Amino acid sequence: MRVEQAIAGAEMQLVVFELGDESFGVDISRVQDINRMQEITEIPHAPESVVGVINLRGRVIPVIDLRKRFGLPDAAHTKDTRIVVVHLEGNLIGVIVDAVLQVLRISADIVEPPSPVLAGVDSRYLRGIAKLDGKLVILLDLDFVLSRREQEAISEVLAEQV
Amino acid sequence: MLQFPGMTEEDIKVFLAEADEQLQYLEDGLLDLEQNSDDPEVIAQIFRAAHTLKGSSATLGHDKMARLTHSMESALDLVRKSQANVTPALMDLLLECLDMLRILNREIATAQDSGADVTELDERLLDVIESVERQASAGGVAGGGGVPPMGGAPDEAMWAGQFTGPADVRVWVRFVRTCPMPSVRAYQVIDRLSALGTLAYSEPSVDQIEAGDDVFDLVAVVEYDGDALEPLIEMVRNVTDVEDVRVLQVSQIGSARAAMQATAAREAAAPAELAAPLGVAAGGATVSAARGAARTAAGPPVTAASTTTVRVDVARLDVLSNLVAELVIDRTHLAQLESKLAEKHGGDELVSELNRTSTHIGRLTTELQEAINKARMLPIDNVFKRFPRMVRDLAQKQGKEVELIIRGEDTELDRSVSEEIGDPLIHLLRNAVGHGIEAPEERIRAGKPARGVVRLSAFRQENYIVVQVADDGRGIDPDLIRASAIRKGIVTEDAAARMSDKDAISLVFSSGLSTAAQADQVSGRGVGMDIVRRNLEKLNGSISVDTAIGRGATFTVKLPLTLAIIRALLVSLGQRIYAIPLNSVEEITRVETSDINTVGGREAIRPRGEVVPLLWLGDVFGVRGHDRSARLSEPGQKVFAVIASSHEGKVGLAVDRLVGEMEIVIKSLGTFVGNIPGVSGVTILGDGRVALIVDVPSLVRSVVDERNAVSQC
Repeated sequence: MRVEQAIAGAEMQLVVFELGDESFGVDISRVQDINRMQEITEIPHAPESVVGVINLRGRVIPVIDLRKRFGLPDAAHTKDTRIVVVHLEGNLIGVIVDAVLQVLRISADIVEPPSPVLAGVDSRYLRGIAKLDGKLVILLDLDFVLSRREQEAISEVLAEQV
Repeated sequence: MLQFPGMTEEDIKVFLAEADEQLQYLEDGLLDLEQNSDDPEVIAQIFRAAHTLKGSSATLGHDKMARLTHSMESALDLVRKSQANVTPALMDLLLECLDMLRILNREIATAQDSGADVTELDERLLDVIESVERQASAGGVAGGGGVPPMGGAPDEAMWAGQFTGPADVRVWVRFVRTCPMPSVRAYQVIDRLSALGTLAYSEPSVDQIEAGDDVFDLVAVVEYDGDALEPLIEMVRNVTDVEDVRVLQVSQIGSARAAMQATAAREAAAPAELAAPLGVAAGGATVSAARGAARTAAGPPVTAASTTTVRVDVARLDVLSNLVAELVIDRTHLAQLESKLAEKHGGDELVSELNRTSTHIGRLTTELQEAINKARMLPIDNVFKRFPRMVRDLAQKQGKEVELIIRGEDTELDRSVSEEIGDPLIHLLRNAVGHGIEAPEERIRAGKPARGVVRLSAFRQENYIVVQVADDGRGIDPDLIRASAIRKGIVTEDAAARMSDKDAISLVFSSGLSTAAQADQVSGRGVGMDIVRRNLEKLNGSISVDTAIGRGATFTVKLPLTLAIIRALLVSLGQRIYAIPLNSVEEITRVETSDINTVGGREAIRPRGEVVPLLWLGDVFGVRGHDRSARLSEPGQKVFAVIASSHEGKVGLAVDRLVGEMEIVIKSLGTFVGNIPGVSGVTILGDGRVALIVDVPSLVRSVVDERNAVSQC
């Protein structure tokens, strides 16, 4: 069994979610929690993609709208809308997605580097693309998506205030 | 990168906790000694602290600390035996050693070598010891009860002398390289040790020795119940082919077994180097130099309290606090559900049963919360204890005589507050010594005793902790402050003249004055006072001053008992709820739209005739439908204004409704969101919703800044 795995190469376990027409995957070790949509308290003057904060069992965590971040059109929240709570540099961050589809175990072999042109999403956000039968799962670079751009956005806000 | 092989992180933590305590004993004792140089109790306390530090640092394997504490102990021993006097030079030297020990302690805490060298201090200590020795021999006092010889092999006397047995003893044995059957010899050593006490541990193990491994170095830990080390050393040395024996008393019997296993393992790797500084050289010298074998209580102090207290990581307490906070929220929710159910199915037996249970859970939760809050409390002594030394040094540097009197050091406060209160107090104490207390000659001229007094006291007042720093110095002269403030353009001459003395004095907290005051030694009370005040306000605290010329000044700092929980007024804009810290709320008024005037281009109201600028919370936070234009478009609309204040002034906050008063748990927005203007934090309400906490000082400042900008145009 162990030998087979070694031959098949490293395995990855992904939480796959839907945003617009695409499927995205993030490493399961980064995911703390998946929650139904709940009331979000808006934060005035926060960076644009920070929708607000929620109460996650006594912890206050910021929530990001990934649609806004990716420049996708707004969509009404449905019963499938979820807040995926992920770890980011010691913080917990909630990410709003259209729906969570499944948890997927894939071999690293089937991951290809991102192609520069991909419908609607900035390729800098991507770590690669996993090709499954008839379906593409885009592997997100969470640190980049949430951290660097966020930092830029924050410094923009701060710059405006000064 | 410093490494302590064989020591677990837990061992190091235990060491650090103990070392902090001992360093504090040392410092307290030394400062005490300076005042009462002949109190044997005090000398014994210092001696014990140095001794304990020596033992534990040697166990840990920090040679520098072990070496320095060893020399300190030797010097203190002379004081203890009244062979050396407590001179100012010796005090300074010992205090320097203490500073060095703190540096070394930090080395261990951070695992970073500081590059600090103890050689110089060590040599100065040895000089002191030698000179005492010379005097002693010159005066013919030497002999049986004389001074233990230092230098060559000082340790033997130290250890043999202090051994009061029974104790854990670490024995290190080296066999000559040419020894044909080292394992047999090792076995003989083990055998003899076992006859003298209980063998706790050995490296190599007895099994390995029996298996015939070549053993040239053997480390063993014995729970030795004899009352002197000499017989043990003799017995081991008499084994054939033993080249060297070193013995070290480790601690009270049985208490260090686990730690020793680690140490022993490490020492087996490099025994000569590590064991040498503290071992007992048994090679040539015999241990018959057992002076004062019956000396009392030289071992580490054993406190009775140690059996009833447990050290708990603060992170664990934080986890507990968070869990209880969640429980409180759920309890509130449960009560709400229960009352809804009661409405629906009034007389149902199940509902009343639920009611009983939910009430009980409510009570338990409250008790649990109180218990955990208590567990987070520390006596303020933790903050105060570093001040005597600081004040002493400051006073000495400035040629002043200052006595620091501390009261209420057992007042308890939340850990979070005790972390924040230190810096402001340092500032106040510095000012008291530096600017408040006069030089001795000046004091005598003014008919005061040459020695000034600074009183530091703490007490509880309702949900606040109050700390006062009072000096009997020259006091603050309101006229000097006025002059300085006019010079710096903080107030006009006119305004200054109209200002009451009290208002003038509180100008020491305004930002412009501090720089002026720094240059101006007489009124120099303002050094960084604005920052002190701002930092305290950030924590929902306050500072005030009371002074009389020539009689001194008293600064009073007031902080909430815990920074995590405050009382707040909840207000709403539509469905949104905001919390305003109650300590900044002055009053609440209902204002007709017709009461709103425009003063200097800004809306203002006049509660009690005073002009207070009005801010619409809906505009501040950009809440559409609840901002100024929406509210004013409804004719006859009444508006609630919460009059809130900081030291910079007042502001009226216009809101839709008042929700009530409640204790809230302050939470930070976190680094990801960062600082949001007008928001000091968030809290979770009883129904689980998140509410923003309004940052009153920053809103007041924004109004003040705006006004200044306008007036400058």
